[in-house]
Amino acid sequence: MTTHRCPNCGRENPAEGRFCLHCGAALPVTPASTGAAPPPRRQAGPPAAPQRASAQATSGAQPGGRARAPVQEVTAMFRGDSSGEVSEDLSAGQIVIITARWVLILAGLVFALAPPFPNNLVQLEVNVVVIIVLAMANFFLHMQVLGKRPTLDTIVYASAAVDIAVVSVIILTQVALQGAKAGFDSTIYVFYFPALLALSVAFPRSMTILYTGATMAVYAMIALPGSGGDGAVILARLLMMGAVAFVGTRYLGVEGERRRAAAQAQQELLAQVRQRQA
Amino acid sequence: MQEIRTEAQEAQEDIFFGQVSLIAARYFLIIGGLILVLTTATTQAEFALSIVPIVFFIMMNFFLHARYVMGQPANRSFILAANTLDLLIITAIVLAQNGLESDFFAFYFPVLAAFGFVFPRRIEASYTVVACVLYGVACLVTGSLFEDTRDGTLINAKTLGLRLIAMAAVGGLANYYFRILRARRRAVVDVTMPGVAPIAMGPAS
Repeated sequence: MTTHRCPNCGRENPAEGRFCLHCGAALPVTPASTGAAPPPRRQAGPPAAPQRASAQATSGAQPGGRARAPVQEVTAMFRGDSSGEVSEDLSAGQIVIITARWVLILAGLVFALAPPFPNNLVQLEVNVVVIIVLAMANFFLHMQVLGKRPTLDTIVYASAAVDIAVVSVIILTQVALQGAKAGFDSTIYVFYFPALLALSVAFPRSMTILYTGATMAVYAMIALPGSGGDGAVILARLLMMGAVAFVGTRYLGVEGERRRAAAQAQQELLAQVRQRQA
Repeated sequence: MQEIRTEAQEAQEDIFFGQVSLIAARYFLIIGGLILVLTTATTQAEFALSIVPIVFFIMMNFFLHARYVMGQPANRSFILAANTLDLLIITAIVLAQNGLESDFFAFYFPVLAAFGFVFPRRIEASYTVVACVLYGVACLVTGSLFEDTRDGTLINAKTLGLRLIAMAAVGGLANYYFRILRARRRAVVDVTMPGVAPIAMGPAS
């Protein structure tokens, strides 16, 4: 079996070890310890917490190359502070909400400014003004995130509510100008999907249920009067909205459990090392 | 005592844990499909034809769910095949219901979201593009995109464009969040091991 010597105490350790079994010092990484990774194992139930080291993770980099503060990130988890973890989830998910909003803004502009234009000038003006206000608010929130300045949870919740409200207002404008049937026919409702997905991966489950329920209720009230007996179609649309939110919040829960398991295993490993040291 | 995960192993675990999302999304498709079939079918023959893909969905999802519960989740190839089949079935239904006019296109959304939570960026992007292309082709082939007037056709094109943007956004956002959470999980492990040098990893499979 390949071994390597601890630079601190000089005793031998298994090649794949990352800490000295005798003194607990970090071991230098050798090619032998990186090349012979064990094959994936089949696991019944949740597998053991993954212990891995990568350049990206060590630097705390996010996808996209922006640096994060991993120490702050896991503090709440080790404290067992669930409200802190909720805030961290919100903080991590905020960039997804902001990205979803940029998609909504860009698509809204394309929809509003590409011909053929709506017959009514007021409708076009309302659409464009709403989109510009939304863009300005999103720019402010995006700057907060890029500048690593904390945003109040309340503002994140409020901004997600505004997203839903904007989509609903645009559909309502169509209803007001073209009649009840426009509520059912409008394709703008598809933007509820990215908005719901974004909030479901960031908000705690109770808030996701609240927001999704409210969105479904509002959309049902707008679209049902013009459905002309196609209630099942509305029901299917609402169900798919619920599905997207459910899948998002379920994933958030699963990942939270994985992260907690990883932190737990890491604590146990460190305790073992300290025990051997003692 | 110690165990080092490669990215390939991590991807394997992502598939294991992510299967819950995929299975849940498919159950929603089943319920939505049943509602639409039960309420829109007008003849026995139409009902019998429409219910076949739903029954197929049910059987496939029971199989996947049972394997997951038994701790023997389906492997990556099977999951990919099952999800591709999801897309094909939804597209077939959209085709049968005259493309752009079909409301079954909304069924793409949960499937794309769940898929984005499980697979790495390249596979997810390919999957989303395939979904968008399939839907676009279904609308073109049925001729539902074209109207007698130029304005009518343009309105339909805008509708299709908005739907495609929303589909791409859902897939892309789900995968974006998947990568954010993966980075958080890695940070949890690494932050408590100060002084450990980064280890070169093999490419994710």
